[in-house]
Amino acid sequence: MIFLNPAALWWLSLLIPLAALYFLKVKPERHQSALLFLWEKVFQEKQSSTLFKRFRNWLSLLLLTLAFIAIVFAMAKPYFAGLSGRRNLIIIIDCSASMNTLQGGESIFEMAQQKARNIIRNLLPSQRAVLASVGTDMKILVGATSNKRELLEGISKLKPTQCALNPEAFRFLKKRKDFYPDSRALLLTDGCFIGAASLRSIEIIKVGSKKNNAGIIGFDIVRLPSGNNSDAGIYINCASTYPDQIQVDLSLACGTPGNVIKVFPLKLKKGVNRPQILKVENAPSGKWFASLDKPQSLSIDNMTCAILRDPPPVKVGILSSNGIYSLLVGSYSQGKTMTVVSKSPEVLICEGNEPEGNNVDKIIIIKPYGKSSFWNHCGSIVDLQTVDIDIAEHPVMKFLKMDNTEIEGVRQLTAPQNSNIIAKTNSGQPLIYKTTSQGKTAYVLNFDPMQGDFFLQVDFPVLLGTAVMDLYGRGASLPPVFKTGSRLPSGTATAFTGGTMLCPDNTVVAYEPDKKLKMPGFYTLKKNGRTLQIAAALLSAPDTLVASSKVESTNKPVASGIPVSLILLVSAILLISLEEILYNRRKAG
Amino acid sequence: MLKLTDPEFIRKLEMLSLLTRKVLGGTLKADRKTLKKGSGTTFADYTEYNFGDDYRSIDWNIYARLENLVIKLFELEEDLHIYLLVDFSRSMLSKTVFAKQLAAAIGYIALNNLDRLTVYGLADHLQPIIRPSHGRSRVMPMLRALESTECFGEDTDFEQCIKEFQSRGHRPGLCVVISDFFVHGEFEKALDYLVWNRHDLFCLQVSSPQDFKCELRGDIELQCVETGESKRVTIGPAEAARFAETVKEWNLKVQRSCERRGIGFSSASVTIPFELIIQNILRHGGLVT
Repeated sequence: MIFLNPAALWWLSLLIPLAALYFLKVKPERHQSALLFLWEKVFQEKQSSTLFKRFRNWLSLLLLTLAFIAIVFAMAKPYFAGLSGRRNLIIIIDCSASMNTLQGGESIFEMAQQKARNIIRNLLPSQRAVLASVGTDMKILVGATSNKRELLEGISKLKPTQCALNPEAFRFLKKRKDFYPDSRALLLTDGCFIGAASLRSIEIIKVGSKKNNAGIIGFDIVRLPSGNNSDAGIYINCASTYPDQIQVDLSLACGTPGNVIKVFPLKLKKGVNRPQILKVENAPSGKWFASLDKPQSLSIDNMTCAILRDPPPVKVGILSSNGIYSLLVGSYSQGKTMTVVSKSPEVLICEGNEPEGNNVDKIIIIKPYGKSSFWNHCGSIVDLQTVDIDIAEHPVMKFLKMDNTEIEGVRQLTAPQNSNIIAKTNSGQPLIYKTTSQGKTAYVLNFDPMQGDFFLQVDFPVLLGTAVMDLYGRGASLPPVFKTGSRLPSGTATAFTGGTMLCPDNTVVAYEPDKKLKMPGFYTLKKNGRTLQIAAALLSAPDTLVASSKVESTNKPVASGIPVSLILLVSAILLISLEEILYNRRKAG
Repeated sequence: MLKLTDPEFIRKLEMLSLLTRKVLGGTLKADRKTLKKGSGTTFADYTEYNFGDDYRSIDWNIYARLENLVIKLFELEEDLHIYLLVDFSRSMLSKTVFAKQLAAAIGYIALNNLDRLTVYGLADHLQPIIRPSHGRSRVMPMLRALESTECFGEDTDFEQCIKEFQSRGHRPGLCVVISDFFVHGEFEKALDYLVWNRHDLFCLQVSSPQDFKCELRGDIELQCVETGESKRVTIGPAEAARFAETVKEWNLKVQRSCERRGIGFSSASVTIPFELIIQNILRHGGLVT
């Protein structure tokens, strides 16, 4: 043990005069009585406590002496030199959403704050510390300082975010490590993020213990390509840390959280569960909410939201003398997802080959013929063939039941090497494939739908519709929900730069491209009369699987807890209180 | 606090003296009737004439009717020896004034009834305050003497005081002992001495609420006001309660001792006006008819 202020030990020399003062203090007052002989009678009956009474003053003096020594030692500021290495510290507090988890009435984040405070209180005057927070990115809150008050105030100002921890944020520390040489980086975290095990230069101090929780980690809602275009498909994925399977109800609401459209019972096993695909008929577009009914230790992942969009119809151009294609496209989409246009189409459907001078980059070619960059060789028609589907889960094929369907008008054709063959004939001829050439993307449908009346089957208009939608690229449209902490895609961000953004807490901020969606809920972007609604939710498996990560503390011993000086002071107060009780007993009986 | 020589105080004493009537023995003619027959003015009885009787007492009317010589007997009116033994030890310090008032009242009544009054102070020795006195003219000297008497001595030794009292050869009379009876040693022997010497004895215990209630708490060094002896004690609520109980037990013991010996006993608290106490005590204590 070393004393930072050894001069304070000189105060111990006051012990003897203080002891003398003590005996003067405890000297009893003298009172005259005419009834001493009766008092003697009273005290003859209480002989048993005489021994204690005799040594009571000494016991009291011993307590006061110990209290005085404790105070002097506290003033001398003792510390244990060998415990921590006493290097400068970089204290990083995890501010991710999982830190909001409640454990025994307080959140894991509050526990981490308390641990950080204890570490700071034990800093030596010669030690410096940096206070940083990590969430979607890392921020230095208090630069290298030995000012404990400043550091403690920095901790008090910290608040947990509602975003998942971004492991990339730790790169920031690597860049700045040169600024803090000979320092230890301590991360106070619940360990709920990916890549925690690979943090070698950071010592992890794990906070919180395993806690039961279940939540939504994946959510998507899209319009299904059905006949009336009013049904919606919902993708939902949940995770649970309960040791046993639990039953929860998933409520789907539209417009407002209270307007429940449908309730699905779900059985959740421990860990990440298999995703569920649910169908909602006549689903209106707009705001959608999904929530689990069971209250959990982490509440933020119990509810998620999304926007079901009805994008403007895709402009389809048809180059064919046969009007059946226009009829099929029009009746399939009913003007909602596709519309047939004569000028400036976005997707072109043509028979045989693309026209000369075509500048449409998304093409569907039916009954291929002649030379084209979308096939290497196109030969003669082969006999009746049956369909053999290679990729059943492909967006174009997943709604079709064409396996073993007889089909006619198939030509001997060689698909380019970069082609993605989705279906072949039983003889191996490429039947449906997607290929790219000269910046254009095309679906080649190597058959004649007019032969064998294939165009009358329901599969053909669905095939056309899904191929158009795939070519147009649903991926280019905004997703129904963003993860909290993410930014908008660059195209959308650029379009709304300089506009305003209404956040879920009803605050309006100026929108910048680097603006992150930090809160779960709905945002409204506005610029020049154009409005865009987007949704954000946590949807983070590591955060939902709260405190169940196998990450353990990796830190070397660090001076934390209550400082020795404070313990000594508290002990002194306790001793003085005990002595006061004894003294009070002597003074007040 | 009234002085003993104040006119108001004396008026109170005058009121009290009107209440007193008691038949006791004595040698001088006084306002007090006795059981003895003698040369008073009030007829008492007849008795047969014997040789040597005063022939002036023969009732000739009876002789004329019955031819028997009988003489008239008259009630003898005598004075009474009243001894006031007032405790002036230091334990009475807070109760001295009250004790003096009681003594003054009884002494006034005695002198007003032409009784013979003697007042002594008790402590570790006997101290005369009023020599045997007789007559109303001695009232003021008696009051002044009582007023000027202060506590004395270093202890209360009843036995020694009574022995000294007896050695002075006093005739039997009414002994009124005014004390708190907080006596370290034996007090019963002293009472026995007085009873054996045919004194009519009456004990008047003076008490104060402070005697029962101990306000002191904590570590205290108690010093005896009389002997100077000291003792370190720790007084808490339990000890204070036990002390109050012990004082009550002690007072009960004093009362029982008096009752066993046929001694009149009464206790008087300083919180009650002395005249009320005198009225009650004298009425119920048997001193006044």
